[in-house]
Amino acid sequence: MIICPNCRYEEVPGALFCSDCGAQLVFSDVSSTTALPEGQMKDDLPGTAPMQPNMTSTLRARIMVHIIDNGKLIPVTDKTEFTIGRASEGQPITPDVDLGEFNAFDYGVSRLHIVVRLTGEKLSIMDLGSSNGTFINAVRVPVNSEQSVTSADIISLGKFRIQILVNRNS
Amino acid sequence: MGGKPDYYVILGLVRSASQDDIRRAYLKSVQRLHPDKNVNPGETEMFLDVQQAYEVLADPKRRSQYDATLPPEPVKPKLPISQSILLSRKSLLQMKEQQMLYALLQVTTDETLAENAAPPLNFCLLLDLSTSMKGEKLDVVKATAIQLMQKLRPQDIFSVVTFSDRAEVIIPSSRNIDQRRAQSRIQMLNASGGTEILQGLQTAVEEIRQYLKPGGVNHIILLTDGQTYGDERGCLELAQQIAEQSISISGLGIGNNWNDIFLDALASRTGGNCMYVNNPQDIQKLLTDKFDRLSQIIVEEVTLQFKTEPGVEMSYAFRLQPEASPLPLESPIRMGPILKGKDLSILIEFQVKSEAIKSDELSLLSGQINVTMSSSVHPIPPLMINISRPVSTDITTDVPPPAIVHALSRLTIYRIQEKARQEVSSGDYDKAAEHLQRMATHLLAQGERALARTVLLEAENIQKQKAFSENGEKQIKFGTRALLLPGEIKQ
Repeated sequence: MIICPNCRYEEVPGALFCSDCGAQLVFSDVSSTTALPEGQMKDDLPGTAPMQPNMTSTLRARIMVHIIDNGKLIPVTDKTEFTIGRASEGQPITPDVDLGEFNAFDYGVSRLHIVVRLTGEKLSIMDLGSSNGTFINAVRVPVNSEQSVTSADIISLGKFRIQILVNRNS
Repeated sequence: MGGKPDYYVILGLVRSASQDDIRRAYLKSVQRLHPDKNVNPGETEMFLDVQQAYEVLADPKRRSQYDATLPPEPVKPKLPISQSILLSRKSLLQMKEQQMLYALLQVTTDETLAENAAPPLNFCLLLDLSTSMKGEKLDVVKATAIQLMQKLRPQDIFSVVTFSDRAEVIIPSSRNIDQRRAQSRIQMLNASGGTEILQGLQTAVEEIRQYLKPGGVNHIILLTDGQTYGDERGCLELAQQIAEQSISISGLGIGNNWNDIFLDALASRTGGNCMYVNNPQDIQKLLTDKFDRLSQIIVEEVTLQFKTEPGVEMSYAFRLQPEASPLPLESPIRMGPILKGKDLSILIEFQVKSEAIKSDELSLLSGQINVTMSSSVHPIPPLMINISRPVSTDITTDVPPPAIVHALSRLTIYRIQEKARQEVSSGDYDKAAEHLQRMATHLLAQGERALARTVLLEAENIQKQKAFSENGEKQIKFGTRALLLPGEIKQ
């Protein structure tokens, strides 16, 4: 038995998508999990091949960022604290989760928009002084103040909507 | 090819063919090549070859003598058609619960085949003339029928049959129809009466049979905007019968009142598909596109004859290409034709019960793919197919092939739609609305904004009205089905 992380529906092992909510249960779309755009990688690290995300780590990922507008899931490995934003050229600090390839700029995502923290079972976010603000379920949150959230909350970075999913089984 | 042709090649057989296979292959070839029926030069000679081949192979003694004279069978006989199978998992798991596996079956034609002339069409337009067709719908249908007639090639055979309370042959089946007379016959059509599909279908089949060529493209396009009452069973039985004679049906449903489940069942039994138009203006495009696809057929028919192991169930089968359509699950599955340059691809879902797993290898499905291609000089021998997986005791994390994941990401949405529809009919409105909302999220994710909006409106509607709106149900079904079409697949 496998349990859909999104809706808790019970699926038969071997299922690739949840038949109840449509969430993808097994990841194969490798490109959606690369954090940095390829061009940038080449500029910064000449001669190194783009990082190949490890499939097993994808499956074991504790936290996943769900991009609501395109349904993609970005796994976050080995981290209980990470930043979300968009990488831009010439900027020394890059966010842990880069939304640049999803037109984040047009949606008003700042370079370092929020930081996400998982302490024990508690999930929280903090706006790092973004230009267009952060909203939890359409309510704007103050800058630099820690706000607790759940996986069900819709978090808007400017107009870019995400959810943060936590896998409680691993 | 030098020397004497191989008797097995002449009959389209593999060397291990049973006496039964030989007899069947012989009868099929005879139907095609009999001097009373054949038209092309050289076919009488081929008929004699077939006779000779059969005389030898049908007699076990002579067959074994003949076999001894043959050079060894090439390991991989060169065929213009090949199949490939992708599976979602590398191995099955030894465990106590049920598990699932997906298979993507593709039948591909050799590139050289694209040069072959497409076989002539023998097709019939079967038009609904019930009262409800009056006005714009009928006007567009008439204009389109006339337009299609002008696209006919000299070798094509065409007929038009109408039905309401009774059926009528408007243009009898023939080549080189008198365009002017036919046009005025079509212009004079008037809508009145009920919708009795069976009568119409029977008449259309009679027209097709006038020029029936086993293995040709024998096709009926049924246009309707209403429900037929009481004769659904008869229609389905007829569809089953004619499918065996290589006659296929596709359905074009107009507006909201036709029975899409029935029309789907009717068409998919014959390897055909079902289409939907809401706006009568779209009839023309859909019909001309359909006609173009019919004239691009290079392999008329592909069927999958199979059996599954006890404990293994084929729980879903869907044709992704060339025309998206759910398929019936009983063997033989008529997978439909192959068009020029477009592989035939079918996604199959298997449920494997724990009792099916007895050794370290499980064969889920075995059988053969039968191919009818009239442009090939000799019949094509069946392609053997066997889907099996090793059984392992360790949990391994497989990465499923992207093609399967891609197809399933679309198919899952389509199946949630099926779920929601069932829930509405069993009165579980909240659940149905919830499923539709989830669908909308995924549709938005795939950039299908218009369809997502329709789905969301429908979710609201179901909660308020406790039913699907007039056209929402079909719009969503065919909208999500269209997502599976090849044009949508990007690498």
